Amino acid sequence: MTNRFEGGGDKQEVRSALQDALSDRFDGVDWERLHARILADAARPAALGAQPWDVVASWASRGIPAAGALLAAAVVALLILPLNARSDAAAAAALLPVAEELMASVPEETRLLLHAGSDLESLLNLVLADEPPEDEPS
Amino acid sequence: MAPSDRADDDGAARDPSTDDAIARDSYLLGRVRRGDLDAYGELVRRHTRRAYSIAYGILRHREDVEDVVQESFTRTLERIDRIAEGMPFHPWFYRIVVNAAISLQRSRTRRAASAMRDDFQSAEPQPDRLAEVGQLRDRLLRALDSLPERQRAIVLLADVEELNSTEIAQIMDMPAGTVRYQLHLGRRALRSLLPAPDEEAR
Repeated sequence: MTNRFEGGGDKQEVRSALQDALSDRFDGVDWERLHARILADAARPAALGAQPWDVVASWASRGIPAAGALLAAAVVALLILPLNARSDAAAAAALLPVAEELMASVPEETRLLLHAGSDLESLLNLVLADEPPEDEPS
Repeated sequence: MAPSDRADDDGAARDPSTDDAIARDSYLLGRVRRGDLDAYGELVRRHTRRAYSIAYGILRHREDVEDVVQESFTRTLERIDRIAEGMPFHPWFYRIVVNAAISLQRSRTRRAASAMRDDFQSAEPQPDRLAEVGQLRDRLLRALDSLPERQRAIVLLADVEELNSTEIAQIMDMPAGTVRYQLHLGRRALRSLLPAPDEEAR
């Protein structure tokens, strides 16, 4: 017996009409681009649950010399500590000269591996990506 | 051996509620928890299409829909430890999608409604029959928009996604009886716009 709330007659007519009305919802969707966009978001280390320390450890696993990894960890630590107080970009910017000096002492080949051609700004973005979003103004 | 499940050419799971599909999703989730990006990619491909469809029914603005779909997957990663082992993934995930779409719908600023929607009426003159069909479609979609948000979502999940009331209850986090009642109300409101069967036959 059909549950009266399933509405046998209404159900088929409404269903057909709605499916007709929304039949173009997939038109023009570039699924590959959308998939790529979603996966790019996930590729940020923080998105998969890694902490910045894990990121540094993963650098070591890529063959970066231990000394270089330790120096990089120091840079990350200097950047993170004030960020924990949520002073974000201002604090990080203040530490930039310190970080640059530290990175200058990292062996050339290590720096290249770390940055893959990018600059310290990218490293900063990597660390800031782990920060939770700020509260929206009410 | 990893469980397998039939998928469409674009990787979408044909029916996420089958035992095979649930098992495949559980397997992939386990891999994702260990940081396997490839497993996450497969999970994304299996569920993007339906997530898009659900969000589109609520929002009907393609850019917003894509944002919601991406955001829903991101939240999934953030909350992945909340899914108990063996618990079906898709109701949990589609709940995130529905809530994200409804949340965005609420927060939209009042721009010209016709400019926001993808389905605003064309200014081009059309043959009478096509114009009639177009007008009915527009009226139906406007009526859908006027339903209470969660009732609208229930109607979409039932009549576009063709999920049963048990699945919808899991997604909407409400009793199945409430789902059926809300569905009845929503369908009745939309049915009143449709021509009577004897009018269609003319």
